[in-house]
Amino acid sequence: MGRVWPGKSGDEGLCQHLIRYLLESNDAAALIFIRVWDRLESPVINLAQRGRVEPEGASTHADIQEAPGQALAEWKVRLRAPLAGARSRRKTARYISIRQASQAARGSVLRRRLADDAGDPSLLDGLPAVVTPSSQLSRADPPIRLEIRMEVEHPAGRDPVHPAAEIPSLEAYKMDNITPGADNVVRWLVLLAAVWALFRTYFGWLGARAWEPSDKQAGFLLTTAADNQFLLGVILAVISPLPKRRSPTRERS
Amino acid sequence: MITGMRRFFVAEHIPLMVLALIVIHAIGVVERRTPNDGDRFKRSALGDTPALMMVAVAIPFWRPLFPGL
Repeated sequence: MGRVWPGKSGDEGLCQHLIRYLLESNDAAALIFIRVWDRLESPVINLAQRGRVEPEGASTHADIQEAPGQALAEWKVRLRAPLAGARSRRKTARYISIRQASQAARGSVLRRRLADDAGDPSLLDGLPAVVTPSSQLSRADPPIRLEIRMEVEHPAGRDPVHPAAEIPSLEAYKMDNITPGADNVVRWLVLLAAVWALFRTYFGWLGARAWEPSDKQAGFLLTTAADNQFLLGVILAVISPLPKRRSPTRERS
Repeated sequence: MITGMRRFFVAEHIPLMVLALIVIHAIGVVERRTPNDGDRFKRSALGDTPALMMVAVAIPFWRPLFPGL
């Protein structure tokens, strides 16, 4: 299910991969684990502060849990964004989760928890006595040095892809690439039959010639081709190569 | 508001194609029932022309002939 991809220290590229993965992935409920080590740089925070994507306030899309792990601290970010609709909405929803994670990481709560878990008060050295709520953190606050590792769980049971690997872009999900080609060929039969029937009828009309069996055949050919095309269209509609609207993932009970 | 490809298929492709199919079949019936040859040619020509136009407009020509090529 899950797989861990270690990030390099201070690797902003990993975070870009993460964000790119989030933007490109079609998984509505991919689980992104962001494990935070407190000794390295924090690219997530930097990216969040740059405001690459403007968050739009709603924070219910992401669910950040603190969980114990072998790392010093670990957040599990469950993306429950409604992925349907405009791509910008996807961006926003997914971005918020990253932003929340980074904001939570910036809070001093992290080290306090670490100190408690480790039973080592010295971990609190250098920390302000008052815990700053993450919502009140500003850019001026010194960031916690972090190393981020990412684990992605695919609910659909597909093989997880490394975010840095070749990510199938949204192009891959477009209709062109997953549609059976039958109707695209048959439509030319329909067009040819229509042109042929029109050709015969116009010349018969304007030339005032007698109705021939081949005229009937032309009309029959057109009708048949159109019928078959319609049948293929119905089949396609049932198979539905159109990108489906996903209903927003339900609230977790 | 549906936009883009979905709008094309829902709002243009399906209605126009169904309409064209109905017209084509109706013309077939008209052809059979018209006694006069001249009228027959005329009616089928005047009926099939808008059908062809509707089909031509509603075809998603941007889709490749063979997907995957």
